[in-house]
Amino acid sequence: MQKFLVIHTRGFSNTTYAQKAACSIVKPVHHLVKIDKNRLSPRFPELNYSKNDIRSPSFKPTETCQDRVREHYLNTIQPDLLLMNYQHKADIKEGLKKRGWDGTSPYHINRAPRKPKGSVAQFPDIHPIKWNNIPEIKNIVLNCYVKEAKENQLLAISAALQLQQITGCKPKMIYSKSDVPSWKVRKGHHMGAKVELSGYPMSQFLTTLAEIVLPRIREYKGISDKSGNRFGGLSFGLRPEDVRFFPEIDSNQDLWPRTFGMHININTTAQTDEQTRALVSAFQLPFHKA
Amino acid sequence: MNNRQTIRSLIQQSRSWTSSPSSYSYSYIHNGATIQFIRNKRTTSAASSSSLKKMGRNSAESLSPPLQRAVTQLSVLSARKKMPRLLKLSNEDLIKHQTIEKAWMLYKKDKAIERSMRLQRQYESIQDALDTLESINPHLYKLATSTNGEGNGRFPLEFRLPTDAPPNSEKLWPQQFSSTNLQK
Amino acid sequence: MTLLTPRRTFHLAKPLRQNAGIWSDFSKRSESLRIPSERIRKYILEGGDNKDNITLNGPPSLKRKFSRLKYKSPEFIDDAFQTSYLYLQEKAKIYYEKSLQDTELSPEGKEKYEILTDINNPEVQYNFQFHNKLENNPKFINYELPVYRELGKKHWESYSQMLLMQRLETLQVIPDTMPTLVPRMEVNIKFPISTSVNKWIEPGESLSSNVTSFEPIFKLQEYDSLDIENQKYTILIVNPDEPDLENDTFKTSLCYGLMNIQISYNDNIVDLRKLKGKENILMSYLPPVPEKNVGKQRFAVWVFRQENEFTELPSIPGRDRFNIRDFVEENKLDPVGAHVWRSEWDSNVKNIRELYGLPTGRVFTRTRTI
Repeated sequence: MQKFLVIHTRGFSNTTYAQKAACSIVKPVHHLVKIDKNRLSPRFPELNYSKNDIRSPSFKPTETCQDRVREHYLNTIQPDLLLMNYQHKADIKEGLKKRGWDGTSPYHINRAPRKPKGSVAQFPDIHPIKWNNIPEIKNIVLNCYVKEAKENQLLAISAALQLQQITGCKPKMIYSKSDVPSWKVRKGHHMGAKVELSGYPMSQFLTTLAEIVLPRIREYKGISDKSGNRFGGLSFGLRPEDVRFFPEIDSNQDLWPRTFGMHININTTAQTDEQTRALVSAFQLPFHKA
Repeated sequence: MNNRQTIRSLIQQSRSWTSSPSSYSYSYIHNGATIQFIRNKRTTSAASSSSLKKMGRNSAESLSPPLQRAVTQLSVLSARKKMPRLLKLSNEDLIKHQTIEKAWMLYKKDKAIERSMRLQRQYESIQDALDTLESINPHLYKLATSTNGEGNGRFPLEFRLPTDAPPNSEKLWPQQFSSTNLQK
Repeated sequence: MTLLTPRRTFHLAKPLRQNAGIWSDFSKRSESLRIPSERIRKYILEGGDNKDNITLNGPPSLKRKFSRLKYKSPEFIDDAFQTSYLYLQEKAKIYYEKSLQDTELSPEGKEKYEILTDINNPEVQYNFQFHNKLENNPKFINYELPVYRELGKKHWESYSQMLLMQRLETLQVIPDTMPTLVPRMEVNIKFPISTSVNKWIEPGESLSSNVTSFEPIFKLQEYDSLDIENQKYTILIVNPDEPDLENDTFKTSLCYGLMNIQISYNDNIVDLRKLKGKENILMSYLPPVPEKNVGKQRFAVWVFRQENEFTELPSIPGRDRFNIRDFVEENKLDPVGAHVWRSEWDSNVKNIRELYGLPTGRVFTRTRTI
């Protein structure tokens, strides 16, 4: 046991010795009231309003128009998915988990558990689909990485603007993470942009993609039937010439001498690939069997 | 790195400039005009700015076309242009607004509960139906619950999102549609 | 979206009839649940284009004519408001009927339904948001009603309570006087003499000896629902920073003690001039007279709920060496609120000492130790 020097009295004439801590200790708090320091500051009182208060500077009106994709999902797709994914008397399928030690050796005490059998990482349990966990699309991430941006940084700016034009949301710039000499990529270079869509912009993008862009692509086969990342994600790509079919780009062909291909990642709350594909197919996105 | 910095670094890369480390200012010469940077703010010397005015153009116009294009693109991307002015409401209207928001929130919550209840009833009725089937006819039950491989099924491509105005009014509803015809 | 989208052809903003819903029925409900100004009430409930407001050309809360003319309400806000108002009122009606009909309801349950009935009422919200919550006028904010108490509590917790607890902690009033505090009552103090600053003191403020020369008044705001007519309170002011040279430490002295204090939800200012006799005074007020060079002294105000009324005030030996923790334990007091201010020696301390007949204070100087 560690011993701490505890001083019970405060000296009046000479308080220096009392202030010498014998060990580093965190100053105790003697009450249970949670204090939000920002609210106590007299500066910027308008920042104390919550984000959904109209007086707050960061207020953003959310529901400004009808979202037909969302409504269609709630009215039609959700009950259909519940029926499609129904399994009678289904139980929770346990995912791979880390294994404990059997305790035959004294060294097993406090030893980190073993890796799961046949896998490095643990996997989540798969719950049967019920009324409260029907798969839905969480968000869509568009990722536009421009290879040539390592020579010409201006291309990355164009790529960001292209994403903004297509989605109407502000993109985030992406930078190369590390030096890769074989690809002539240097760390910290501005290489493109990405944008995360959710809510109405996501619905808007989904319908534009499914109703305008994909049907116009010549000999478009569809998303691969094997796509999916096992955790409810699904990705596919668009080539630079496909991107031209977005109406925002299509109407200003002169302004876009060059377009950039992008990856589209659809993140859902589905638990298996099959559920993910079933969900995504409801939004008129075609699938092809390889 | 914000847009302004990006523009500045672009300009710096494309020009050769001479800096004096002793002070916070540096300048470079372009098209005969001296452009000065003092503490990261660009100023033009009096003589050069007047000469520019005589030439009838300002310094921004003198960028090379691709660079000018990037500058325009960055200014389109800038957040400032998308920030609407703060709405100021009188006390009465603020209360009205709060009431509307509250009602809308409660309305949405009610709808969500209603939907969840409906789905729960649907789930329970599927369960009931299969339980009954199992007790009545085990063979049919086996057929009903058998899955071929993964087989959750897909939505057909003809499954459309409803729109307010259908694009093709002649073919409003495919009367002759059947999945068997489609496969042929 | 259907709720908020008004149809152009169908103008909903008709004047609401009296007794149309529970929110405009004041036969059984308190008048404090209504906006007293008829003009503002009509502007909110019936829209800006009603007969009485048409001459005003704008919201009546804007005082200048120019700003009224310049002001523009958001489009269709009245239509959307009417729909929302009726919707919320319909929901509130369920709670209202529950609170009236259920005879087996506990007082807490009844209060909960009363809060739910009126918490979304725009008139209540207007009254609460745009009027003084500390020096409340019962016409607007009546803390007798559970809904205003609920709103007041939320408002207190959003700022004043946090500020108080932060100051008590940083100034180490807890645990130097009492071990901890679970705040349940808003305590405000003021020194209302014309020579001093006539404002509510912020916790932890440094006050000059002139300001604190006469006893403060206290405002004890209860937000909990309890039997307030029979509840008695004790107020103690202690100074834990009195130098104790014999033991080379500090001692606590009692500056002021009041017992058997009676308040109500709205009338809750404790003023010695209003108290009848001396039967409430446990210890008379001794103003802060810090000696020179002792530094800033803390004066902690503690408010306790009493278990029952004291027929005879407990006797204490004196101000000096007052053990607040033992006193609280002996008399079964429940700490519910606190406050703190600080005082320091200044040139006026001499006059205060003369006024109260106190000896001239010591002057502490640094001495060299070996």
